[in-house]
Amino acid sequence: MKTALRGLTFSAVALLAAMLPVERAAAHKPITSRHTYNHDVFPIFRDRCSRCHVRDGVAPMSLVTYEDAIPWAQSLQTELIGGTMPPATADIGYGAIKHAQPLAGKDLDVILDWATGGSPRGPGGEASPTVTLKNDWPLGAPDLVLRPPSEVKVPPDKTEFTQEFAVASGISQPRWVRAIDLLPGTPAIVRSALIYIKRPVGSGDGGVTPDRVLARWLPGQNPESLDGHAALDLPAGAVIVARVHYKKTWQFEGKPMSDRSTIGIYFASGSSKRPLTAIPLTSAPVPASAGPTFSFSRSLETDAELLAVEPDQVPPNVTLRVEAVRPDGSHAAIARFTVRPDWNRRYLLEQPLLLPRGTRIEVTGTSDDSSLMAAAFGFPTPLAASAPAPVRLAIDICATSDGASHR
Amino acid sequence: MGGKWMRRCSRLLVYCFLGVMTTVAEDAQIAQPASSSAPLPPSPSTPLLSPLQGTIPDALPDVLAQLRLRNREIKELMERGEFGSIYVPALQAMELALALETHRSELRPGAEKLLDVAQNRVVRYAYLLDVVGDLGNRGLVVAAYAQFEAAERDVEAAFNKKPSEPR
Repeated sequence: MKTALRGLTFSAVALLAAMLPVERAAAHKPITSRHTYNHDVFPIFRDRCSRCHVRDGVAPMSLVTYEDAIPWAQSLQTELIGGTMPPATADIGYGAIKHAQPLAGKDLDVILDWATGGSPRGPGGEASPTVTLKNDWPLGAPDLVLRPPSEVKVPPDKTEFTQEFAVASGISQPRWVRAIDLLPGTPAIVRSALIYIKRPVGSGDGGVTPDRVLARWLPGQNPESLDGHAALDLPAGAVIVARVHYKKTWQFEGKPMSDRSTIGIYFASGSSKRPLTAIPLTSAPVPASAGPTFSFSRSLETDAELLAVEPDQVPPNVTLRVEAVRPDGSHAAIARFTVRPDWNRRYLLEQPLLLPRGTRIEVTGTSDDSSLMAAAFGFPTPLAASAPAPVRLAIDICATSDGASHR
Repeated sequence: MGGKWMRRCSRLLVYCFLGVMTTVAEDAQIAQPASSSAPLPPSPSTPLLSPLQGTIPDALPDVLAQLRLRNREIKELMERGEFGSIYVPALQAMELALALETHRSELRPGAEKLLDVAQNRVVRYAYLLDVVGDLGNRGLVVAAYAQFEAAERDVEAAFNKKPSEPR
């Protein structure tokens, strides 16, 4: 009863919220924007946001019709000025990360001008072209599809829920893998996933080595494919686990949901590959608020090619800068990105970075401007961890050609 | 609320002014201002909040000079405590920074992405200055301006032949 009432109340509030701005925009707001939805804003939303912000998508609202978008004008302002959307971007001015995907300043201005200037519909009649949810394999059909044994049930009273499922790969020979992807069964609730190899208990190093991460899946992001000489090493008989984080948006709160996502594996072509190895970098415990700048480093013990950086445990809203300092003192920018809760991805470099043994990988963390944004927009200051904790990330390297292995 | 919308309307007027001036200049086939004839930064006694002086200039040094001028106007408004007026030079500076798209050929080598990032940040922080200016909180205005100014400096650095370390 309580749940039903809460759901009803929320729906009513959501409905009101959806209706009011339309009325206000239509009736009271003077139009000062130079940009209109149909002519200027819709193309940006379609091209940049519609993977998630579409009916039945994982985002809390669609942005690909005028009626869907206009109630969220204020939210758009907050998210775009705050830099939290588009998510999981990297600074394109530092290092070179594949699919860094920030919005161009011009596009940002178009949306903000529209959102703050009366949000006019513009020419083109009542409706913009229909955009529907695209739920497929961006890299094409996988070589191997692993289906979970059963559906995952997300109880009605859970808004967020994490569940693992394990699937035997069924491969009898070790294989090289270039990419791993996840196809959500119910895209509206699949918020993120960590895909890794489960090491048998008591095997190898006695459980000291952590489970090996194969992929970090996020909605709206294409899986990164390793197309050079590095590849993921999938052992024979590997059991692959997907730890899926479910999150219900307001449309589904209080409702029972289920999901049966599948894992897709893309084998690498060619037999001469080198395994991608994750090297952990861990700091001393940093203050919970991560207020002051902190830094830590680790030296490479062999010559290596650096291919990617993966934040693992980082306080939210911290900007990390990762750079390499070679033994000769020369610096190479690797990546700079701000870590948002729930948006951890693998930042793959556009080109592998060749680094000699003894190179120091230096990580510097600084608080971003989220406290300023919170004060400006009147929402609570971002939550900090309750106690100092180490910051952890991994760099993905592979051996240089001397250390190549063949299969 | 009414004041806010009045100010929004005045922003539109600034755009209209720019548009009209452009049209007039084109229609009358008036020569575009060359670098040497660029509007000079006003003396300290010049009233602030004047709209951009004519069209967005053609020459890169003139655009950058205008950008610096808007930056100075923001600083002076901050010093006077006229936070509610900051949005005018802030949004004008944003227009100028975005207008630098047409000068990409004059970027220093390798600075394309630096400009992209800086333009993105100028836009974000110009709109943020608008928001915090309305709130009238000096601390927030100062913090937002610090970010805006850093972004504006990066825009200039992208065209500076002497490379500087990206921030």
